[in-house]
Formats: sequence, C-alpha cells, structure tokens
Amino acid sequence: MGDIKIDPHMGLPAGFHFSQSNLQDFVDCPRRFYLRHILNQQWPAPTTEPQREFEQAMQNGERFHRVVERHQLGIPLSLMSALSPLDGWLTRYEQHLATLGPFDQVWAEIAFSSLIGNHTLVAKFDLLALKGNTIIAIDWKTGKLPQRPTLQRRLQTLVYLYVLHQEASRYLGKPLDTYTLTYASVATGEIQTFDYSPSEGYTGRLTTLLNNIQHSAFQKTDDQRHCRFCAYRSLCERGTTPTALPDEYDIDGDWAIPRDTENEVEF
Amino acid sequence: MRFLEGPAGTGKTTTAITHLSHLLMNGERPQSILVLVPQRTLGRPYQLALNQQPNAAGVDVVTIGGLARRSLERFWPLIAEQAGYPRSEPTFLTIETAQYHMAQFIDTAIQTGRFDSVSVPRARLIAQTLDNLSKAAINNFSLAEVTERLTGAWSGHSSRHMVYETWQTTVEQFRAYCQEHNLLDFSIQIELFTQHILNDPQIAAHLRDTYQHLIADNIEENNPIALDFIHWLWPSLDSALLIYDSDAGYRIFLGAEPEAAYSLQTLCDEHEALTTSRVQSPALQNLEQAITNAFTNEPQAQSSLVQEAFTFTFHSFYPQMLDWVCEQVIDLVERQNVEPREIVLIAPFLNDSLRFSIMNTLENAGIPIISHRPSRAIREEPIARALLTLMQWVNPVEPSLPPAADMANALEQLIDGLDPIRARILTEIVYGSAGRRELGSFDDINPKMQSRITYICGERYEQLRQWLIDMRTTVSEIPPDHFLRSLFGDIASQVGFGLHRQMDSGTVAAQLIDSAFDFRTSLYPEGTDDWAPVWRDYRELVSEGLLAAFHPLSWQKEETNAVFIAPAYTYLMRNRPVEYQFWLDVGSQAWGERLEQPLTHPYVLRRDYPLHRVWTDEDEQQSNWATLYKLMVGLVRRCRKQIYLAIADLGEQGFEQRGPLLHVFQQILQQDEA
Ligand code: SF4
Repeated sequence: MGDIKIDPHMGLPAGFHFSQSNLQDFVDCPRRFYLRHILNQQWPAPTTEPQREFEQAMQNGERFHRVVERHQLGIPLSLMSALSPLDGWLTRYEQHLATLGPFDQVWAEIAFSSLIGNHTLVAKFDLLALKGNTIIAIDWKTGKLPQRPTLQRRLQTLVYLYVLHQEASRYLGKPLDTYTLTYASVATGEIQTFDYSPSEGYTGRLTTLLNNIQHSAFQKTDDQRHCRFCAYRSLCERGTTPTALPDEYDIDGDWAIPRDTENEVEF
Repeated sequence: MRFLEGPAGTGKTTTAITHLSHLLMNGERPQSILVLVPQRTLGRPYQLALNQQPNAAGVDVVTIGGLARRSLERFWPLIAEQAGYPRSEPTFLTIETAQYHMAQFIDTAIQTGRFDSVSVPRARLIAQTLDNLSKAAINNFSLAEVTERLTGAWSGHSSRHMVYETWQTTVEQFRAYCQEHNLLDFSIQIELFTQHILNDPQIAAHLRDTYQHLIADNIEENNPIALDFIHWLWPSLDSALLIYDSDAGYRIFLGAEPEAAYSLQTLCDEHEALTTSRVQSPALQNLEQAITNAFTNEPQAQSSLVQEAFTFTFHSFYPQMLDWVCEQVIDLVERQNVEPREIVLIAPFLNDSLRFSIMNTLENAGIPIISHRPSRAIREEPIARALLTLMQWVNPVEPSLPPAADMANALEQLIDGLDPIRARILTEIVYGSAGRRELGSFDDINPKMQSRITYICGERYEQLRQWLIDMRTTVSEIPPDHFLRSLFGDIASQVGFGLHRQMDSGTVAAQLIDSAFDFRTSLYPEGTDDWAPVWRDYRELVSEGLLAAFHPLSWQKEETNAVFIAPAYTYLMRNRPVEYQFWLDVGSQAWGERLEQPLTHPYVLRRDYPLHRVWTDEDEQQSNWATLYKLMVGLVRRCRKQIYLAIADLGEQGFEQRGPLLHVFQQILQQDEA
C-alpha cells in the first residue's frame, strides 16, 4: 500500500536535543524517530490495551517520582503518605537510600546537557548523589528491572554515563574518581549498578549513532516486536489492535516526556 | 543589575542571550538562572540558544503562571492545609475544564434573571467571569474589589450593578466548590502562589537559594504579579537583566503594566538604551516617524522616503482586495524570489472566510502558508466532528443516532473513497432500514444501491459499523477518551479509512483526545469504576460547545518556510520581524476598536486605575487611539522592507469602510503632498 513520503534531508527541528529516549527510539525503529521527533507527528492510537492499565502505571510512576522529588526537597514522607497509595514503593525507596547512602550531597530531578559534535545531549537524573569522590546517578524504576545485559545495552546506560562523566565534575567544581549509574527498582527491590569505564568507548558509540541518524533513510524496523506497542501502527500498516504491555517496557522512561500541547494556562 | 530598554528590533533579546551564555561560560549553574517571560512564545529564542550550548540544561525559561504551577506541584503538601485545601493531589484546571465547572454556577445565575440586563451569550459570560477572576489574581485584588472597581467605573443604567454583584456571588460559589474538590484554576494557582508559596519560609528559602540570576524579558508585557515577584526575588539575586521594549505593552488587555515595569529601572545600577534598529530600512523609520506625527497632530516636514515604505491600492469590493493581496504575494515569491517565511498577512481579527479564501488561492499557486487561529473550537474541525458523531451513537448513557446530516458527514470523513453524495445516500438508507436507534447493515441494501455506493465503500462501512456495534457492548467499561483513541487507532486511521496517513487529522484527533482526557481527569483524578457519569458529562460539554480551542501549529510548523497569516496581536507577540507585511482590510473599524465585554474591563481592573473613577466615552476613545498607535508602530518596527496596505471601499458585509487606520494613512499621504 505504498508508504508515507520521507524527506531524509529535512533535518532535526530547531532547538532539538538528543536524549536517551529519542536515541532509543531511533535504535528501536528509525521510522519512529522520524515520525515522533522530526515530524513531531501526533498519532493518538492506543499503545497498549487495556489502556487504563498503562495509564495507571504511568500515573503511579509520575506520582512516585513527584513524591521522591518532594522528599529530596525536604518534605517529610509522613506528610505525603496521604497523597500516595504507593506505600510499598516508598518503603523500598527508603531501604535503597539506606543501602546506597549515606551521601554527602544530593540533587533531585536534575538535568545535565553535553555537546557531542554539533549536537546537544541531555540526561535528566532522578537523583544525583555525591559520596566522597564518587558521583552516583540513581534511576528509580517502578517495574521489574530487565536482565543486566539488556540494561547494559539500553541507550539510557550509555547516555547517562557519558553525560555524567562529561559534566558532573564541572558542575561540582571538583575532580571525581568514579561515575556510577544505579538502577533501583522500588517494585522488587532489585539494584543494578554500572560504572563509567573508558574502555566502553562511549564517545565513539554515540558519534556513530548520531552519524547514522544524519544519514538515515528512516526505514521501518525489521523487528516487528517494536510495532506491537507503537502508536504509529496504523500509519505504518503494522497491525490494528495493540497488545498488552510487555514486561521489558520501560515505563519510567516515558512518564517525564511532556505532552505535545502544554497544559499550562496562560493569561 | 542592569536595565536594558529600546524599541523592537534593536537587539535587546540578542544582548540578553549573550549575557545568558556568559553566565553559563563563567561556570554559573544553569539551575541558578531564571528567564522570566510574559508568554511562552517569547521564551523560544532562549530555548533555541540554550540548545546550542553545553551544560545549559536546567535553565528555567518560564512565565509567572508556569512558575506558580510548578511550585504548587512541588510543594503542595506544605501549603495545602493552611490554604484550606485537601492534602491529596490537586487537579490543575485547563481553560476548558475551568469553563465546564464554572458553567453550573453561571447557569444558576442566569436562571435567576440577574444577568438579563447584559445580552451576552452564555459561553461569553463564562469566559468573562473567569477573565475577571484571573485579573483579580494577577492584580492581587479581592473579589469585592473587582466588584467595587467595575461598579465605580460604570456610568450607564443602574441594573449593571446587580450584574457585578451577581458575578461576585457566582465566583464565590465557584471558589468554594474548587476548594472542596481540590481544583485549581489559573486564578487560584496565582493566589496560592503569592499568598502561600512565597510566604512559606521553607519554600521561600528554596526559591531564593535556587535562583541567583534573573533575566526578565519583555517586562512591559508582564503582569503585576510577575513584577511583584521580581521585587520579591531581588534582594537575594547576584545578577539581573531586565529588558523593556519601549513602545510595546500590547498585553494591556491581559493585565500588562508597562509603567510599573518601567519603574523597575530604579532598582538597577546600570541603565542602557538601544536605539538603532537592526530591522527597519530608512524608509520604514520615516514611516514610523510619520505615524507618530499623525497621532500627535504635529505637522512636520516629512521625508520623501515615507512613500517608499508602503504600497497600497483601493478596491471597490472586498474579494478584489483579497485577489490583489494574493497576486502580490505570488509575485514576491515567484518573481522576486522572496522566501515565503518573510511574508506575513495581518488582519485585526482573522475570520474563517478571509483565512480560507487567501489560503486556498496561495496553496493552489504552490505557495506554502500557515495560519494562526486562536479562537476556533476543536469541534469546528470536520475530523473532530466526525469522531464525536460516532461517539454519540455508542455513548453508553442514552445512546442516540445523530442527525442524518452529521452521520453522512462522519461517514464521508472516515470512509476512504466515499464522496458526499454517496455518503448522504448511504446514510438515508441505513437510517431508514433499521428504525430510529440502529445503523442498518450494508448487506440489507438492494444490489442496485449497493453498486451505486460501491462495494468497496460498503465493505468499509460494514467494518466500521461492526466495530462500533462490538464497542457498544464494552464501552461502559472505559472512559470517552479511551473510546476515541481506539476509534482512531483501531479503525479510522487504518487502511481504507479516511484518516489513514492523514497527518493533519492525527493532530486534530490528538488534541480532541487530550482535551477529553483532561476533562475526565479533572472530574475523576483517581479514576472510577463507573464511567457512566463521565460519558454523560462529556456529552454535555460537547453539546454546550465548551470544547477546547484547537492549536494547529506546533513550533516546528510555525518555523517552516511559509507565509504566515495571523491576527495582528498574535503576530506582534511572536516577535518575528519579516521583510514584507500585508495589512488586510485597512478600512475596517476593527483596527483600533475594543471588543465589547460587559462583565469585565481591561483598564478599570488595573492597579493604576483609581477606584470609583467613572470610565467615560472619552477615555474609551483615547485608549483606542493609544492602542492603535502602539499597534502600528509595533508592526512597522517588525518590518524590514515594505508594507502593503489592502483597502476595500466596501467591507466584507458590504458597508462602506472608513476606519481609524485608514484615517491615519490618509493624514500621512496628505502631509506628504503638502
Ligand atoms: S509501527 Fe513499527 S515500523 Fe512503524 S514506527 Fe512504530 S515501530 Fe516503527
């Protein structure tokens, strides 16, 4: 049935910056990257069914991150218990903090940006914690953690460690020895930790990826598993009804993505 | 601490962006920098610049409304109870959901007859009621003061006093309802921000520790609360750059206080004025001077260059004028190789017929054009109407077949290949064959008609019908927005259906669904097991025409290389100079006239307006005149090469036109001849 017209020379929109989530989109499916980030195409099909389950998972994730941010701003958890049905998560969150801490200093919901070539790469950390000369980026997950090799492959791991290494020392105004990314699940209590290691060739991998994006024809992915929970299915003629959310879906990577139309009321 | 002033086009924002880069390069933490703008669009140059810079993520580019909302989201548990609200998460109302909640109180007031003396449609009563609430909040007026100000300024029939009192009772009821249900409209957000967030010692310390550097751009457009906030933050700042556009102040209708903004200069130890326009040609600079002379009635020698700044023709009829505009645009783009983005078409108000007629002609000539229509309701979009029509039939609460004309339109929109005539025939048949409440099957139609409608369209109709019938059995278990999402994704955008690969339709549907989602979550933030009331209320919302406005333009689209057609103030607030401007319908009275708004008043509801002072016809005339002057100068300052004046003797409605803008140009031309 043909295809939509792709203009590979269209270029990235003004003000565009790369992030773990849009890079992951490109790796999963170049077409999705094109539609979502170059065309900024809204396509309001359900990503999963039942929709309510997905929505609730997103809402809970959002609420949990909000509670954590408030807690790090100095608001006692006891003041928020009435706000949250997420008591189990909060208990595990406190346990994680006890295990990973104590910290010299923490920053909640903080974003760093770094240049790579002519492009800006942004990482938004749930929590940054300084412990001696080690900087730890903690990423809370409200679902089960994927297997370690899967996490290792995720763009989030690459992007966060790269940006952390590039920017944290400058931000703190002091040299650092170790740069660590910790995934901590508040649903299961699991923890996975990755340290920055020069042998991983972060810059080279990211440069290649950005290069690939610039020369991409933005083809549809061959791996149709990605289409099962992609909103563009009807546009790509890759199926009608969505499936249930797979376990490996990273819901916490999504909740912070703002909607296309901002909701703030202006006067 | 620096105060930078100058007219548009003199490089103020560029200076501020350089200042921002220096701060970052000198190692200031991005999180310590606050860029305060009166409107999100005016923050765009900063965001673009920040994206070119390392270690710039975290600079806050916000409006005072955005800052208020974000602070409330963060610190709600600390202030909720003392502010008299429940400690559970609040619901932030959109304009649409605020209107919905307000409607019930306005209806009660209408029923008592206390609004009878103002003949304003219900929707505008609701909008103006909320507008007054917002004005109260940004000026820090109590509700009683709003009533007192409006009453004191009114010199007409005494029945208006009762209208203002009724307004106050109505909004007091609305406020109590919001408090009980933990709903925060814009005005409540602003009040809680000023009265609780900024007065809470812990939060105040956090905000003052966080923001060490302030850049406030277009302070002349910002409202009193934003200016108060600058005063509040001032003592703890390490640096500040305040930017004042010396001849703007277009948002006076939205509470801007240019004079109060200007007085902020007394806080600064450096004061710099930029005067050289980087935009205007000498001819346009002369035109600006000529306009100033015309307004001040000072006959001064006029440069011969003035006439080079603009070109005009008189047309007898409105359509001829539009043809002329299109011919000139085509000439500029095709023969003079002007980039389409360097052309803007400006009207005092942009109505649909004007927009359609120009857009059609230019699009047919292959010239890209985008329009901005801030006030069009999403329900006016054919795609949105089609989806809502089908929804009416599956609504679990009192489902009904929509009027046949609506259904025919929906089928035409949603079934690929079905033209309007076949859609009408198909609807007539399937409506007739199945009684009043059901959609008949294509299979039951006689073969001759089937063949006329075509089997392929019939098959698609059948597929859609079957999908809807299946949906009806489960639809009560889901909210309306989920239904719309499935209708779009599972069927309407699939191969063979009208929205397949229709990118613009995706945008319309997305906004419709987002607005349905906002509506539902404002009523049931925690969800519910019984969606029936939501379906009932949503139907009411749609039928009352309270659906949100449609915003067709994303940033990406707005920045494409296309001619831009917009209302004058929208263009001004985009703050994007162009080479060529076309001023449409120059004879119209609408240039320089204020909309009649009996329930509110942009000048009386300002801090600098004396309480109890009557607003006279002379005041009205003077303010209209001053507004027109600002508008003209603002436009001229945003033009690099030439202005085209499109004038028709008879306006769109066939009346002779002699509006104030035309009058000013006549004066300029007479002066030139003299
Ligand atoms: S549906 Fe499949 S091919 Fe299309 S954008 Fe989504 S993942 Fe890519």
